[in-house]
Amino acid sequence: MLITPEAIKKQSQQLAKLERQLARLKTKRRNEETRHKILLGSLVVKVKLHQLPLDDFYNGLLEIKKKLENEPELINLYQYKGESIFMGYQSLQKVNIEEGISPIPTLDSLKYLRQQTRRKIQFGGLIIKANLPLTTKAQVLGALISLREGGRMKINGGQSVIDN
Amino acid sequence: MNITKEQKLKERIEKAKQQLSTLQQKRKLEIGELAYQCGIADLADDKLLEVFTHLASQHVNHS
Repeated sequence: MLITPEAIKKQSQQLAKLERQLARLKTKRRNEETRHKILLGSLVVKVKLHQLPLDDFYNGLLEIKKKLENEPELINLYQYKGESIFMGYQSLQKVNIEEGISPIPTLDSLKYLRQQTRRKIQFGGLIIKANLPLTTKAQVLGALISLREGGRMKINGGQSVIDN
Repeated sequence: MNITKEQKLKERIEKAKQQLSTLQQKRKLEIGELAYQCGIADLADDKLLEVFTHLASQHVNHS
């Protein structure tokens, strides 16, 4: 049977269609990943760890990971801590990262908000990179609270201090 | 879930590429066969190219 140019054209179109589908799927996945990172980054802001340098924050996460390897039951504590914040049994001092910004959006305020979102994505990305064995949002929040309260890290005027 | 979908799509794309390549190869052979049937297959490459270029200018623009 002869191969017609139409058959080749049809096959090329089919290929292009599949490639477009793949591109759309990849974009969707990237957007979902970014949303997830922003969500995790928001938890970092909630517990006021967002002023830490990224490498200090990441080292803190690795310490938590090590702790969890030795004491897996800590997950329950993290869950409890996180849940009590979400349920309102405990309160965290509200962190308003938009403090000092005019309620009317200006170019500067939009730029600032964009920077904050980028920062959240960076922190969220580090949480994912650390690959902590935490499965719920409450557990992550609990772990971050522990990092701030019981860990060796403290915020001091925007600077991170490692206690020895 | 999206990763699995992506993987499946990648496999389908790979298959579609192979099919396209096979079709193109077969088409090339068929064109060679047609050149034999027309009695121009013994021409030197540059002459053959001239013939095809001439044909292309006559037909492709009108198609």
